[in-house]
Order: sequence, then structure tokens, then C-alpha cells
Amino acid sequence: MKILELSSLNVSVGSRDLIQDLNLEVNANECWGVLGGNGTGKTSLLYTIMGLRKKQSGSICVCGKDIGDYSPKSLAKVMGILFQDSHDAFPVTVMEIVMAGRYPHLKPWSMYSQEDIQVVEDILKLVEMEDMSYRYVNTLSGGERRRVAIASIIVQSPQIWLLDEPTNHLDMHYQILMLKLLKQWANKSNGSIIMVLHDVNLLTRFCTHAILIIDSKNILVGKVEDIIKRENIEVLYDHPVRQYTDNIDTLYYPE
Amino acid sequence: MVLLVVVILTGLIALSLGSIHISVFEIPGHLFTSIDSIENRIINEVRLPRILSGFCVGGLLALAGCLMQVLLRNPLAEPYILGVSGGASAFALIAIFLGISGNWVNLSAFTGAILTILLVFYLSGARGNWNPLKTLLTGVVLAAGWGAIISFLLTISPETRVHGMLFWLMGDLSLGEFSIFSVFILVVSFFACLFFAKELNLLALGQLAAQSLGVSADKLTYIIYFLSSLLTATAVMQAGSIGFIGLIVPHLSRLCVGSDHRILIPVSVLTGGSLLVISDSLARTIMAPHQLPVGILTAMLGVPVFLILLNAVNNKRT
Repeated sequence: MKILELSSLNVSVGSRDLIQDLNLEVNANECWGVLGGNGTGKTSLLYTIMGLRKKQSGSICVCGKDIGDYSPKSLAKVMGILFQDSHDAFPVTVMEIVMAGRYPHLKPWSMYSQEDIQVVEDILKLVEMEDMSYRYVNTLSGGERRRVAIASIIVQSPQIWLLDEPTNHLDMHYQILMLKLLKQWANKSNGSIIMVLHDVNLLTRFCTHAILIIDSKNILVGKVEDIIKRENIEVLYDHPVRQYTDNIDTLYYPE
Repeated sequence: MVLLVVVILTGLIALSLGSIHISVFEIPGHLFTSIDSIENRIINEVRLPRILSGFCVGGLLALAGCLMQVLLRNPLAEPYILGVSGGASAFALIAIFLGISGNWVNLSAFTGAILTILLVFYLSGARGNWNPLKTLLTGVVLAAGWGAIISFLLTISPETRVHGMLFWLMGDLSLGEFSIFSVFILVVSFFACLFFAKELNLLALGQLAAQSLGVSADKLTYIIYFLSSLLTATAVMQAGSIGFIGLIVPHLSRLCVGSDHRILIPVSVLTGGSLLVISDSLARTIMAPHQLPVGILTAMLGVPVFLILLNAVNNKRT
């Protein structure tokens, strides 16, 4: 089932063209990884899909409907984004941040119910933050904050999960745990993930498809086994790469 | 609930204080009977309107401060930061300078405030592209401009008029009478903000975060901008630029009850109102028969309370 379709999408920031003529079809239960050098427009691409940034031209269809035809709230039900970083002007509790994910599911005029609180508490358990629900987020470590943000998007449970560097600030253990968790919940809602990563090996481990943004006109789109190759990665980052293969995995690491 | 009791007690004590002392316990009697006595008339015609108007102005400023902080995503934001009070004062001073008096001065102040609101909105290019920092800087610069005009007017005005002007700049409740207009604005915006409280919580997390969760962030931002400006303009029209309440009360409330606007808004409004009533009661009694500008007292009370609370809460949190 097709849930996201980009056709001849152009994204630009100021006078700089970041992405030109991108065509993409995402089906249910896929996991897409986006790779690209710094400043190539990975985040801008996610923002454009989410409707947070105006597209230059082209179309973005979610579940067969143009994103312009959705109301803000109904769009937030089918599509959610995990931001690269979060910073708060005011002290907010873990509970309040995670509860924000329930907002799209509220009926107008209603308040958060006991059921909403239960959902939030259950998911805080999954990210191992249940003991901190009334802590202020500005007293948490970077990795703990990341898990709070991840809990919030799981609470939102959209169909299309746009994740901007989900493993930021996380240690080795939580990188794997959180990606597994996100994938598991995306599959539960018959959804798909599109995530920006900087780690090729995490991508090959978790993703089914990949987008390599080499430059604005040169974007490789396809299945992981077709496009994640040493020569492509070398071109992508303009850096020599070594490849190591054993009977389980193929790993890539910079020269 | 506790706050409501505090508010009522504050009101009663404020009613009893003054050059003629009336016992707190006699006050309900005076309020609800119509015996024609001096005490009765002092309470009902002098003190009650002033206390109500004080409470109202305090509430307006506190609410405006809450909204401004979310709007600009800056804990230092306060109702006057965008130059609304500067514009109002400058226009009021021009009116006084020209020898106009009475309600026309207030009206002139209101015009100045509204003009500033529109000017900041237009100059910061806020339409279609809200940038808190740009809006903030535009407002601050405009406020500085008004400040220059105010200083200029003070310099060239005859001394007889300067005193009246100073009271505008420092803020004073004896200027205005109890006005239904302010109460109306306060009540309507209060309920509007409670209605938007959930959305305000999300907006406080950031414009993009709110938008991605399904809030029409642009629309809400415009509503808050004009609402908070209108609140400020109303407060300034009624009582001049009373400082401090709009900055301190939202923080004070946030330290006590957290950042959830569903609770923060009512607590701020009640605290702001009470703080101003207390300050005003002190302002008109401690140096009686002289009345001090209430702005002096809000700061003298607010500064120590705020610092003590800030330290207490920080020690608890770390």
C-alpha cells in the first residue's frame, strides 16, 4: 500500500537549490534511511514533507491526498516528526513533553484523560524513563532527553514517521534499542519510517530502502542492497571508505 | 482555591486600610447595606472602585506577560518589551503637553499603544513569517525611540505639567477610575486563553513543534500577539506604565505551579491582581497623606519575594 508519494519535488533554501526533481514512493512497512553530507538538505527534505517548509514545486501526497488538503490536526495524525534537537525556553516536565504527542488525537474541546496519562506512562516505561516522568527536562542528560522525544512520537503514533537523526546523544545500547522500538511501533500502525542517519552501518541494519543525497541533482533512491555500496558511499561523502564483510554483515568505515 | 481565599482577604484588608481606618470585620456590613454614613461612602465610592481597578490592571498585566513570554519564547519578555507602553506614554505626554486633560489623555495613550502594536507587526515583517527574535528587536528599538520622545517632552515641558507626566510614566492607580471596558477585556481574554491553554503549551515548545503536532501555529501566534498587546494597551490606558507585574508574576507563578498554561494562566491573573492591590494599599498608606506611585511598591515587594522563591526552587531542583 502506497502511503507517501513525492513527485518532481524541488526544495530550496533562499537562492540555494537543495533538492531537484525528487520522485519517491513509500509503501507501508518500509524503513527508509537518508544519507548525505552536511548541509545537503536532509532536514529540509523532512521539513518539506511535513509541511513545515514551503516546497518550491512538485507534489507531496500522503495516503493519496495532497498535504495541502489536510487540516493541521488531521495531518498530525498521519505524519509525525522527531526533530534533530530540542530546546526549551521554559522548564517543562517529561510528562508534559510526552503528553504533547497525544494532542492530535484529542477531540476538540476535550482535555487529556486518564487514558491519555496511562498511554504516556506505558510508553515512558518502554524508553526506560518511567521514574522520571515529573522531572524537568532541563535537568536531564542529552540521551535521556532524546528518549523523551522518542517517547513523544511513539505516543503520537502516526503512519509516516519522519526521524531526524534519531540516535543523536544515545549510547550504543540505546541506539539499537530505540531504533528497534521505533520500527516495531511503525509496523504496528502499518506505517513507514523515513530517517536521516549519519551511520551507514545502522542504516544497513535497520532500513529496507535508502536515499543518498550526493548533490541537488544527483540523488540515489532505491533498495538498500542495490545502492549501499562502497563506491556510492565514497562519492557521497567524498572520502575513501573501507569495507569489511564477514558471514553476517557488511560494514563500512572511513579510511 | 487557596489563591481565591487570598484574593478575597487581600481585598478586605485593602478596603480597611486608608487615612480613615475601618475594621476588617465591619467591611462586609458596609458592602451590603446602604446606610448613608461616611465610612460607607468611603468604602463603596472611593476604595472599592480603586481596588477593583487595581486588581483588574494587575490581572491584565500578568496575563499579557504570560502570553508575551510564550510568543517571544523568551523568559525576559514582558508586556512593555515591544514598546506598547512607550507608545502609550509618549502619546499621553503629548496630550498633556498640549494642555489636554481628562479622558482624552487616556484615549490618546490607547491610540499610541495600538499604533505601536501595528507598527511593530508591520516593521518586523511578521505577516506570513513569524520570527520571535526579529519581532523582539523591532519592539525593543521602537521602545527606545519612544523613550527618546518621552525624555524630549519632559525636558521642554513647563514644570507644572511634569509632575502629572511622571505619574503616567511610573504608573498610578489614582489616575483612572474603575472601567467596565478593562474588566470586559480581562474576562474575555482570560477565557479565550484558557480555551487555548493546550495549544499554548505546545507553542511554548516551539513554533515548528506545535505546527508538527497539528496546531495552526501562525494563526495562534497572531491571536496571541494582538491579544497580549490589547491587554497591555488597556492596562496602560487605565493606570500608566506600572512596571514589574508583567515580568515577575508569570515567573513567580511558573516557579510555583509549573508551565502548564491551564493552571498557569488563572494563577498568574489572580496573583497579579492581588500583588497590585497589596502594593497599591501600601502606596497610599505608608507615607500618608502622600500617595506614592504604585510602581515603586510593586518592585519593592516583588524583588525580594521573587529572589527568595528563585533560590528555594533552584535548590530543590538540582
